[in-house]
Amino acid sequence: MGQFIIRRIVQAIPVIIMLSIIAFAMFHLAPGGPGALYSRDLTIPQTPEELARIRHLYGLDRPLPIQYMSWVGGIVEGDLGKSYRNGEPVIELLSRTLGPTLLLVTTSMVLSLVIAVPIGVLSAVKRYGLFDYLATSIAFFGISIPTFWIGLMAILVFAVWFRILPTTGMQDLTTTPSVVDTLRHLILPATVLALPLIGSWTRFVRSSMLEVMSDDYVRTARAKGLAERTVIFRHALRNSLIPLVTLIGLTIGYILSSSAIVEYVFAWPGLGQKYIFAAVQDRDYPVLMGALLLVSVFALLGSLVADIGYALVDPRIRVKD
Amino acid sequence: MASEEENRESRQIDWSVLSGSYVSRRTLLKLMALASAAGITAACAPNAAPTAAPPTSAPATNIAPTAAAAATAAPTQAAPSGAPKAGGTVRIINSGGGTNPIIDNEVLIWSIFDALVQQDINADIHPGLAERWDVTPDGTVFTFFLRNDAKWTDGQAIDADDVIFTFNKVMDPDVQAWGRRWFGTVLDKWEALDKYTVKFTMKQPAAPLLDHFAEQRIAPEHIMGKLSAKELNEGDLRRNAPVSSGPFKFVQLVPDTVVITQRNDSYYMPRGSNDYRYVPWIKQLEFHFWGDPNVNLLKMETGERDAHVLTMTRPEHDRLAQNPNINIQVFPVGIYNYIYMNNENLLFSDKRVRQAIAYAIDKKTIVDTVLGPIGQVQDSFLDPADWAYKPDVKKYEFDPAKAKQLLAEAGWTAGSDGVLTKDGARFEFEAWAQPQNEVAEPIQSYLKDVGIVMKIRPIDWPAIVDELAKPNFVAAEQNDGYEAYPDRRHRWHSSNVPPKGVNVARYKNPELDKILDEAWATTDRAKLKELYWKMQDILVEDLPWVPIFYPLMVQATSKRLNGTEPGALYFVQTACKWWVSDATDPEKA
Repeated sequence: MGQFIIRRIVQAIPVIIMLSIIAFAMFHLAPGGPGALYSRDLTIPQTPEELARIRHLYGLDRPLPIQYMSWVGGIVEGDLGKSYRNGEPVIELLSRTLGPTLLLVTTSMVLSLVIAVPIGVLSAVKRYGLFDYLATSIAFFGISIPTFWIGLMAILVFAVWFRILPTTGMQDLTTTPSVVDTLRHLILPATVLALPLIGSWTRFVRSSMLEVMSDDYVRTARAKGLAERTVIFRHALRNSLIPLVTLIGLTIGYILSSSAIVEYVFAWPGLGQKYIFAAVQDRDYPVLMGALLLVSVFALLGSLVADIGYALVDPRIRVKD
Repeated sequence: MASEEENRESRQIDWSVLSGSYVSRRTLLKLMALASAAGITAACAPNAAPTAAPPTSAPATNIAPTAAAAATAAPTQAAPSGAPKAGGTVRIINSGGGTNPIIDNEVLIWSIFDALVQQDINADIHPGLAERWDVTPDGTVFTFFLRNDAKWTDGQAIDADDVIFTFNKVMDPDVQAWGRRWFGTVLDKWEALDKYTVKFTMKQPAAPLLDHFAEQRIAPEHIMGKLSAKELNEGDLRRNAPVSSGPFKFVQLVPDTVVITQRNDSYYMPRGSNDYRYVPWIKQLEFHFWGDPNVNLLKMETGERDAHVLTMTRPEHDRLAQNPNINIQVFPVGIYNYIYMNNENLLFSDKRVRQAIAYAIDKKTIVDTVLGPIGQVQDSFLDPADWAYKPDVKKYEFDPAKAKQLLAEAGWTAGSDGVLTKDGARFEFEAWAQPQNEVAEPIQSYLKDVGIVMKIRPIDWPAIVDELAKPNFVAAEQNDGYEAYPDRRHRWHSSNVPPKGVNVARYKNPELDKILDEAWATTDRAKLKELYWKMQDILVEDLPWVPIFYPLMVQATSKRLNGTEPGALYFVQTACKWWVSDATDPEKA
């Protein structure tokens, strides 16, 4: 197992390098640069000479491969650069934003699991029934609805109309930080982020469950005279969750990026929100590259977790491996 | 074995669920349609979708030409209830900016640091750290006499050392000082004549620089004196201001969330000593990170924020305007919108062509239909709030026939497809515009009517800044401005053509150059007004850019916030006068 993990990590390194090269090229080839940061809207229009000077200051007039190697060189020394906006070291920025993002993302995934598995199982067991169709409809709703819109609606309904939950942010700054306060702020964004997950996981569990329920051993269990409950929960369910482990692992991979929109709407002080502003407003290349690195690592970690989890949960894989 | 095949069949996914026999597909689809219709109806209920609210009969834009009278624009303004009270917290939606007065220059800096002089909302100059000042009539020597009682928040005296240090760094090419943009080419010498007197000598007459002295906040030499350029540019003091000099002092910066500042009780200008900057009434001023525009509207509605001030879009304005708990003021503040054109481009070099473009566009209809309460037709090159504004300039009323005539005179004839041609070239060009630009498309269609093809290329702000600086720049449809003063040398003087300056139009007029140079050598306001009036006439006649509309500043404040004044270019300019009706006990404030 240890060997497996090490092998996978070693395999991941060239992928991360390739991802970073592609992203670096894309960020820099997109028009615009940090010159806008110095123009303060329109009051201080920067002369072409000034803009050239700013580019030179940040080393942006060097050939791209040199800039890239310089960035890599920085990483080796543990320096990911500084934000163009206010000089904050990127490492600091990543470490302070990773926590809130992880909190949000983990809560969403746990929430999704807790909701999707029972609903999926029930849908499968009572398939074609009213519950199944309702669950399917809600699942499609969750998958199709734009996160941005449902986030705004959630704020509108719960925070503006009914005033039972806070609008945005992670903490109420007028009171001392507390777990309850953070949880109150967490409810809406975590739920909104969970909706598409619930949608797709419900469907997945359902079809996985259906597939398993027609397996030989289930038929055998029933033939043995076991109660339907035992058949479902003791035998079928566990096996149907095996593919879900893979799905969860892959979700870890992309959830860090898809949380960006939720973080933006809810002003959640996480990595996604920072990523959006750094890209759109600032062309803050150090921050973008740092965030990209983190997101790539997570994506690969996610697939590693998926593979390991799958092996842990399914003895057949372990034996073959 | 047979069972394998059976197993394979039973493993196949049962697609029949969708066209299943128990509940028909039709019923399922009907159910889904009902569900979504219900959802959409609920969502489209009044006030449900912030950006979909239909424009209401918004307050009429009786925008008075002078800043002081602009208060008549808002029928929803409540009269201040009683006298100011000390205490309370005000939360405004504005990220605030960085904290180093040499590098940064946004609303946060203006609240926590002071400059040699202060500008009020009428652009008049008042004492700041300098209790009086002397400018030679030709604007070449500025002498500032500092007060001897101004102190930093840590008790140290503010004196000439701080001023000299600040300008040392402003003029240092390795420091990313915003001020070098204005002082860089003209400041020759700056010296301390004694502990409280600083003399600035300019390379050439530079009268308008007084406005920039009012912007350049002074930095603490005893805190920053030992820092290298790199440390100033990106060090901790960009996110932290332990020592400051303004009416508010920095307390805390929660990254990407809020900057908290509090009243500086030992501010050197006590309440009552003047009427523009003094110890504030409110106890705490919070600058909340911008975030999503829709969410900002919701936060104003819940009362979590007290002020939302920017050139917002029409749906945003309308939604806030219909809320009884929010006061709305709309006024012009020195922001403009033009069709930017490179006058050296063969398409635009003929004045008649540029004038034709102006005649071809129905600005009034665009403003009335597209912009409504948030825009005002722009005919001139200064705005109505400016003290040097000339109200009667030549107007280019919508007249497509006249436009076509002028274009014909300039040698353009319509081709077979209606597009104008001259010497084999079609009148076709690409104008950059930001994606949220709403007037670019109506302009495009008006130009099409007279045979000009304007293609719109949408690019965002950071990209436009770069594109405007390129030598092959052609045209753009873009805002300009945020100027509190009438000086326009940087835009229209022939010496400021790129790459040295930002005369993006490449406009070269010796007559205007003379006027601008004269204005730079005059400190007499009456004479300046004469000169700037001439400037406006010349620019309106030559039309290097075609003015379209003034984006108006929309100031939305909560009812508990009193003392705000419409007409302030920078909302927090009047923060000292603010007070909240639910202020706590002044003793504890």
